[in-house]
Amino acid sequence: MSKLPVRILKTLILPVGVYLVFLVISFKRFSNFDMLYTIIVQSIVPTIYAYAIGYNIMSGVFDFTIGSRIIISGVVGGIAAARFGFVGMFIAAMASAYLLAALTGGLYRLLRIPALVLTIGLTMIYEMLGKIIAGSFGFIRLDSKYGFLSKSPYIFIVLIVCAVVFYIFLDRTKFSFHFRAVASNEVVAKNAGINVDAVKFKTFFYGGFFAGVGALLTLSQSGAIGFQSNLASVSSVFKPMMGILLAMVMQSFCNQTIGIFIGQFTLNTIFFGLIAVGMPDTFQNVVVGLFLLVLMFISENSNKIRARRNLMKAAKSHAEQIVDG
Amino acid sequence: MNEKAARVNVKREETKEFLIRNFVYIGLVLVLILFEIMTKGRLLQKRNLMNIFNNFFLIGLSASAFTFIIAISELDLSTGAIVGISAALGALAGKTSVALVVPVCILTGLVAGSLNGFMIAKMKMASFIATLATSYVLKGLTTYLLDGSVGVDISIRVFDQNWIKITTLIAAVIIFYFLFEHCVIGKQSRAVGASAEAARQSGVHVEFIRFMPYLMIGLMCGIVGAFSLARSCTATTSTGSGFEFDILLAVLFGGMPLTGGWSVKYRSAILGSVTMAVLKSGMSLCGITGTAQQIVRGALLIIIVAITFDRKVVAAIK
Amino acid sequence: MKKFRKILSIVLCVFMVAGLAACGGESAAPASQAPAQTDTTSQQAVPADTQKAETPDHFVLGMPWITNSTDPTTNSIGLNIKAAVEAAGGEVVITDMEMTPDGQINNISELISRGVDAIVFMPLAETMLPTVDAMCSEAGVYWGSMLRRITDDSIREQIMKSEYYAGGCYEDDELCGENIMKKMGEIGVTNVACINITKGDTSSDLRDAGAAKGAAEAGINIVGTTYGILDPTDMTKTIESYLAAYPELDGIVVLGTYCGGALAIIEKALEDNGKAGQVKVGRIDFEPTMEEYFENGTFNICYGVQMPYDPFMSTIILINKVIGTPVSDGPAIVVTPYIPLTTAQEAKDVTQYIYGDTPMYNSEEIRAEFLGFYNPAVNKTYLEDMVAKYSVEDIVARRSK
Repeated sequence: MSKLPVRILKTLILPVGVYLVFLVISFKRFSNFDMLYTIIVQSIVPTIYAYAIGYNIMSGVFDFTIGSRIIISGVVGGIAAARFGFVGMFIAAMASAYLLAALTGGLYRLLRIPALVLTIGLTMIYEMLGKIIAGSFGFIRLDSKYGFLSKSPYIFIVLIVCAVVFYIFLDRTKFSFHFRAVASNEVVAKNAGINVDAVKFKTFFYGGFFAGVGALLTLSQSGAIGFQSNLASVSSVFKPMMGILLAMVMQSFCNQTIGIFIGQFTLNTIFFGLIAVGMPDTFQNVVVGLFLLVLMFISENSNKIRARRNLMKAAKSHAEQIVDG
Repeated sequence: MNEKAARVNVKREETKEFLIRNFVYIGLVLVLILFEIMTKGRLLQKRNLMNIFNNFFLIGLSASAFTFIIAISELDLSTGAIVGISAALGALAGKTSVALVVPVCILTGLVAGSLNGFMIAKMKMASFIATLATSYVLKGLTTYLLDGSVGVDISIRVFDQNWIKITTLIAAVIIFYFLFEHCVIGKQSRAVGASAEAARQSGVHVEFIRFMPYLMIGLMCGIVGAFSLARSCTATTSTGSGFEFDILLAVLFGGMPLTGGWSVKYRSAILGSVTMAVLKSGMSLCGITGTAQQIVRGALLIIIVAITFDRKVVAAIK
Repeated sequence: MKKFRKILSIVLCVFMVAGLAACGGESAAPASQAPAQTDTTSQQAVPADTQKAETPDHFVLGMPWITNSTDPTTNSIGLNIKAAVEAAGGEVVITDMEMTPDGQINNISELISRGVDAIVFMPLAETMLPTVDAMCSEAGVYWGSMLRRITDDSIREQIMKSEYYAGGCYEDDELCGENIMKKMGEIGVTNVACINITKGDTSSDLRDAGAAKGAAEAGINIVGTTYGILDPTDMTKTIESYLAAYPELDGIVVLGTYCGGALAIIEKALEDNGKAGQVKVGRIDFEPTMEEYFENGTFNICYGVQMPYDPFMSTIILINKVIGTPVSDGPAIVVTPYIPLTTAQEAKDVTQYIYGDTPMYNSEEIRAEFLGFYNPAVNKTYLEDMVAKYSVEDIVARRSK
């Protein structure tokens, strides 16, 4: 328990540090509460997206379909909202999200081909399915009276519910153990009697819940959702993925459920910060790319650095013992 | 009677095995026949063959080198961005002298490829994420450098002649085939892809072997950037966009297993690139809409991999 | 399990073949979905004596165009080009447009190899035009450009000498960027955030330059420009970030975007922040949702009603060249002015009559008013007059009969 404050401190170093950097650079823009509030609110949707692919990414199964699945669910939800109101929208978006998640996971289980290949192929199909469903204008609008989910306090309630659900499946169920076993070594997990195929299917299926919520929030927040083509929807995977990576880097001192949100908050702070300081749009890609590289470097080499530090400590204490002796 | 039934079974298994092993060839022939009929003979007309070649050329060049990336069981999502920045720097150099375009493109590709190779081989970063990050950085730099689009003198079109492109492609295919199938680097790449630890214990310099494919793909992307400039005489922020998926789709269409190792065949890269080019041309000639083209390509990709993927040699499918 | 995989593969195969079969007959393009009434009208409209008279030789016009779009502008452009070509007795062949310059060169090469007589296209970068000209000249194919201005003097000079370049239309993007900023200045905007399509696109760069010029003249501060947004979430985030970082922001100008439903997304972000109506919104290029926002008073100005007219006129210039009645000795360049849109009724009319399911002009009108073969008065000056006369009211009057 005594370590808790240290862990909280460690967790907050990155987001607070990044925020402070921009606060120093642009005090006027970053010193108001509105900015902080907007960054927090804007971090929620990508966090939900990240939860939707979290189980997949953590178990090494890449899923490129998430962007196109969210579009389809959003479009279906938008159409249902116009006919059946909020309840219709909710049911239609969630049902289509679960259906697509089950279809994707089911095909992965049945075809037994690499997820990367399957999900690229499916993304190409789903994108066009979204286009066909979206109809004549290629996008669906939501009446603003049904868009309350994106407003406070609802959006925070949705985040908390999603975080709790994600945490439970990640850390507190039988699936958690099986999923972690598969993520760490599939062959060993299989030999230990775990039904690997079922676990992999569940990574897609459980993620379907968050895909549905993500679609509802996108529709509520943006007021419109439209189709994308030529694998353009794949790019919507990348930024949530960065949040997951950040969470994985921080997992030794911060639960991944919170880590994902912290990661998205940090990335959004950079995005908002660059706009606030008037940096050219082009630098955003460069900064995000470099940030990701540094993150990866730390992530991949943290064990090595830690081991080296321990070795140095051991050598030092050994030397001290010799001197004392 | 039982012996006869067993023989029939063996024969059937052999036929099945043969069909699966050669599915990509059979698929290509089927696609050719299908579109030749659907286009009423226009697909294989001389003038359309050159279109197919132009669709195939740039992807084929890069896919040849990409085979090594797949062999070591890695990925590269930055190829499009490398093509883009190579073309951008080449075009900017072309303002001084057109003679500088090709060397600058190639040099840029090599530098970008080395950077990727260094991060993946030496810094042990995951290739998927590292190359994704590189692509963000390079795309940003390209946009900054170009600040719009930059044109090159039309004399650069001298490189867009068919004989130059055909010669370059043949040379690249032969060189990469030789490197992959008959040289130490090809064998060691597959060994590293199959098991890096086993390869290391056999004396393979794993870091070097993981570095080289990125250098190769960087080189080829630089060349692609130069040919792209020669074709359009212009570098824009959209140059190379989506190229990473074109290459990936090409090798997957060829039935190349993403799991790397010994099951990676060089022919997959070439066959896949040709299949993609024929499909594109055939569907376009048939007047098929972009929507249907995308659905067909997606479905076909899944079908090919579902049929050709050898599940027996893979311990875990991810 | 294996059996199931087999069945699944078969199902996927069937799915794919069905897709091919179903779409193969569509002959490719939004343009090809032009309603039959175009032809019907032409048959009814042409008097018997004209039918007996000589008609232009059959020709094929090729066009790289977006075939997987449902955007009304994209579809309207295809529809009007097809109407123009068919009125002249030609046929349109469409190939799916590549979105990179070298990909577009491949498009041109493919169309040439398909034996077309003429090609009209929207160049993604003007620096590729000498290459296109060389290819078309070599193949003896006439070509025309649309929607893009040639800004580089040396390129323009080179192209204008070409025997095979018919010319084309362009909208003055720079002037439009300038005008929309001035208009924003007139309604009291002082701090504006801009959204634009990817840098490097000629229109995007020109609109940027024009906006900067207009902003300087109107005393507007452009706080930032964000490029190439495709995703609704990114659009929301961008608008929210501008609103949070710049509380003094009182204007948003969309200089261009390919994000579906962009205006709806911007309006939603403003509404959520309690700034709908306070932050003035301007947009270059039409969106079908404008009518509602004009009515609410939360949207202020649009330029771009003429979008389908520019490609239509470019095609007219090219057709006249192909059928042997060129509108000028050399290539003819005609500039279409950006028509502003400021009321809900105008937006409604534009949605119905310009971006609707019927072409702006029927075959009879096209022949009588735009083709030199039928009307000897048609020349460059005549077409410029037609462009000057073009208005929403005129199209509404024609089509609402």
